[in-house]
Amino acid sequence: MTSATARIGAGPAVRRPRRRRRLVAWLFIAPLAIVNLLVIGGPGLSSLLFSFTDWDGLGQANFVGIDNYVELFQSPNVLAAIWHNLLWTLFFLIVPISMALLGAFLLSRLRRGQVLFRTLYFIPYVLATIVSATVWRQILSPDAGIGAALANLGFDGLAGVNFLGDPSLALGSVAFVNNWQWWGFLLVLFLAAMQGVNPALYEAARLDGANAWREFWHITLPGIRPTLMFLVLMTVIWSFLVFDYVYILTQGGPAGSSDVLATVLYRTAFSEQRAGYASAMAMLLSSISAVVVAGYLILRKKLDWDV
Amino acid sequence: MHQKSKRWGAAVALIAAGGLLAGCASSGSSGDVTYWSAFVSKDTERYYQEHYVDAFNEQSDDAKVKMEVKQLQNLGSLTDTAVSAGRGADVVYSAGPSSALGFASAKRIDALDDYAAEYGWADKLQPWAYQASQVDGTLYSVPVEYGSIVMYYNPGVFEEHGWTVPTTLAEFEKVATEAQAAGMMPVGAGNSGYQAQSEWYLSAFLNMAVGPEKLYQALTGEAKFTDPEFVDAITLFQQQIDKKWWGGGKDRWFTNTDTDLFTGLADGTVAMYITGTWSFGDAGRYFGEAAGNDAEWDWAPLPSLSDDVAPGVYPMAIGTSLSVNSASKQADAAAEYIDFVIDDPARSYDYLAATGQNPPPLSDLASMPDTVDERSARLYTEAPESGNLGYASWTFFPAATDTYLWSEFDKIITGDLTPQAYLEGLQKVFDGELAAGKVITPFEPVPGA
Amino acid sequence: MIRVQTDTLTAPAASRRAARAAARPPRRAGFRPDHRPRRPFSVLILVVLAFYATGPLAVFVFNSLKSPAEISRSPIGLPSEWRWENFATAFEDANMGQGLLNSAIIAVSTALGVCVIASMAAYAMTRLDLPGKSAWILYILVSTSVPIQLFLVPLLSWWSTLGLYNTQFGLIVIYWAVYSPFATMLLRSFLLTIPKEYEEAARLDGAGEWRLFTRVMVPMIWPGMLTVALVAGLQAYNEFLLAVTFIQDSQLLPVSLSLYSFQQSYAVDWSLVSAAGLIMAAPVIVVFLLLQRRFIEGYTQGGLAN
Repeated sequence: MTSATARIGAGPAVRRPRRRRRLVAWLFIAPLAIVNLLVIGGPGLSSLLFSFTDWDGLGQANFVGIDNYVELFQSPNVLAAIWHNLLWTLFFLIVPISMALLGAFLLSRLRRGQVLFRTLYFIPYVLATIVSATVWRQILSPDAGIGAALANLGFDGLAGVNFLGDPSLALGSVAFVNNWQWWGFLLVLFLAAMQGVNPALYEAARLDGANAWREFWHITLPGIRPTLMFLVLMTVIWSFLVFDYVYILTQGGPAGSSDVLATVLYRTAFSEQRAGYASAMAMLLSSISAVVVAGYLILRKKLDWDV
Repeated sequence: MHQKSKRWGAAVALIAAGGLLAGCASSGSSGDVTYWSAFVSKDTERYYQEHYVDAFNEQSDDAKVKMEVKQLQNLGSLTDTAVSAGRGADVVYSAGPSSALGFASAKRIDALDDYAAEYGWADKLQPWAYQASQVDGTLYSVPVEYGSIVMYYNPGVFEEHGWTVPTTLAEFEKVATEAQAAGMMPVGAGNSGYQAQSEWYLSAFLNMAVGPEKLYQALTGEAKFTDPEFVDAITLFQQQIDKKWWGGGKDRWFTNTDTDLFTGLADGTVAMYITGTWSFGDAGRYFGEAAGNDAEWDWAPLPSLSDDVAPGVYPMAIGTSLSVNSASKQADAAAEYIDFVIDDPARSYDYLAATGQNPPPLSDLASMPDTVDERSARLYTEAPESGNLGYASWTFFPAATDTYLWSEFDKIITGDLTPQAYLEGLQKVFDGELAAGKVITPFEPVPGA
Repeated sequence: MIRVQTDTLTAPAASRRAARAAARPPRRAGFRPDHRPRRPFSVLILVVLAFYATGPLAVFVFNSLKSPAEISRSPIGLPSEWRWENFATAFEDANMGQGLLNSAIIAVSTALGVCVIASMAAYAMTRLDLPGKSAWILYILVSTSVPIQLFLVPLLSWWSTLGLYNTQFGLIVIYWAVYSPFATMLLRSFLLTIPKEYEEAARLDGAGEWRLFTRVMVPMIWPGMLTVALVAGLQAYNEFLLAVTFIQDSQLLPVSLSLYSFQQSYAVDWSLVSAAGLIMAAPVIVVFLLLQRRFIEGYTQGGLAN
């Protein structure tokens, strides 16, 4: 310990003894660590314990070994939900991120009206989910929604399409609605990142005769890489946690066609009152996140990213 | 060691002090009996406050009740969380005896036998409801709202088509076939926005096609849900859905809402709607002056869909039960309040008349006043007297079995699951819950009723 | 290849920031050259996107002006009769005045707390000798994925023991915990882009870490703090499950609960819910507009990017 302290490090920070520097670091992270352990870590551990029991959420919990986990990986509903989460991840990695990148890039080149557009794009993110989801349920209604309205105008391509009631369309429809609320938030973050890109690089590219696409590809994208990476990572994590819109619009139906892990978990815990089994699902959710983050950390180390 | 615990104590005190500062507005003196409730409208809430809270506080010498109003959507889950954590109101709400059973097994609510004897609850309540509220012979909850499932219809539309209210499978099929030929949806059904709505129709169908006796046997473990009677019933239901009788088939089931179906009943696009009697107070919105039409609604008891079932079965449902929180320091006063809620039939029936709110299952049927809507009065006198009582799934099925019943039923509608496989899954879930003591003992059916 | 580019980017951006910090020009000079021709095609795409974002809002606004019966009859059409009184009814019936006040307290306290907690943690994770930085990243991100609904019961008992149950402070502490992980990671990415020379100069002057953090770092990532405050405050503002679970006294409840208080028998009265939703969103949109310049300037200065 003491010899380590004496070692010459890089920079003047080494003036303080290592033990003290560590203490300072701990003090700085302490508030986060304390509230997190108090609210999430500690009670979260109880979920880990309960995942090995048959707890019903109220009464006594009996130890059942790994039964819950065995059931988890044999349940067709859970496996279907995982598949839906994967599709959801794919959709959210492509659609909102592309839309937000495109919108942010075009907006960043706009001279006037940026504030207006940015506000308009951000508003869906501000609204309470329960209300905006309900508005979408009305818009997607096969009888009185957008399909019927267009049919009245003579365009009947969407007439009678049962967006939320048709098992083959439900998941996609919910994703579409969730994207509506989500992409504007991404756009605001991307736009901000783009404004940190050095303008001199654009000038140079322009002198070389680069078109907009080349500017985007060679300057903008590399310039916002840390933001992009972080939001890609969060997109994957959040895609496995998605709940609100699915629950309000379809509750996972029809026939489980839009069930995701979180809706199955919710139903298991609160409708079936199988809190032990639901805890096992929660552990699965956390493990998926852990694997994703670990993968990111390994990549980061290998490729020497600075994010 | 000492040092450490001292430091912790200080930290806790600090946090607690912060809590006190932020929460200084915390209300209600410690002597009040607390009660959490939720209402279908502000008017109902005001009526209840006046006649059930203020009135109690006026007449009671020592006990005072304080009501906290929650939302219908979250009253149940809030109560579950709080009571499980050893908090919650003194008077505990539960959505019927199955929910109360969970609290009772977890020792979160008190046994009520002493109070039952003191206040004579066994005499005040209808026997089936009292029996269903017991766990192993001990009373744990008091039912304060009950209802059933019936067939709603539009008398004008029936007259127009020359139909009579069906009581048998053949009559039911005749009306359904003719309604479909006339371009109507023969029987309303749907679960858009509320997936569990399917169980309203499913409960009705099981009672109509399998009957109370067989259901009783299955619920007590004497028979299996995989027995031919159940398979035949679900097969019949699946066929009728395939024929687009119920809810217009799988294309529409997941899109229709309760509102759509009542609207359809009023405008003549839905012939029959089989659903809960909780809509009695509400149906008026879709008919007559309030809705700008001259339609009317009426109801009839459920038809029989099998030779083995007597027509006119009433599947019984307890919507709200009240219990006493084990953590309560006001147990006696809480019980006194529960008694107040069911003590006076006139008060209950006046509440029904004024708000359409379901009454408790009282044995006193005679004091039903004229002010109660004729259709409600008919239900609440004929149903208990009919003797042909069945079982609503949300009241008598344990939680996981009930959830399986409606969530997997989607696959029966879409045709992804065979009736046999569906019922095997149901039996498997039920076996687990029966073994774990999560099934309430149902009342005994009247044989051959 | 990519790394080289990043490095070349860092220096000018930093010097630009330094220059701005010194001069504090009232308006940021256009960061894009202004001599480019107008692009009608780009504008068209932006307008289409704006319609996509706001089209459904029209339905939302119309709903708030209809009667429930009309909503079920014609959900997406114009209101036949504009019922402005819906707003007054919603405001009064759900006691939204009190709710808005409570929400303001809760959202602002959440935002402030999250800023403090997250910026300190991010500072420790980027600048200080914190052991196991990768492990911290892992823990922090995984803790965002734990479904809190599952352990409401132990948390409630715990809060009850601590005297935090049924208090706004108790709810705020929960929000701090739930919303600080994302904020920490976001601020961390801001801090990563700030060159180390700044603080090293200060360290040489003998400044302690706390001083360094509050006097040098916080001003540099101030814009990022604003973003984090906005996001955390907004999330707390719209949250209701934790609020309704941990606060029983209706006088203390936030405005998000009012969206659940409009029943029309067993159905929900969507016209009043929509009106309440608009009333609820209005202050947030105003705040967002007021913060626009700082918000975006902030980004430009602190820059999520290098």
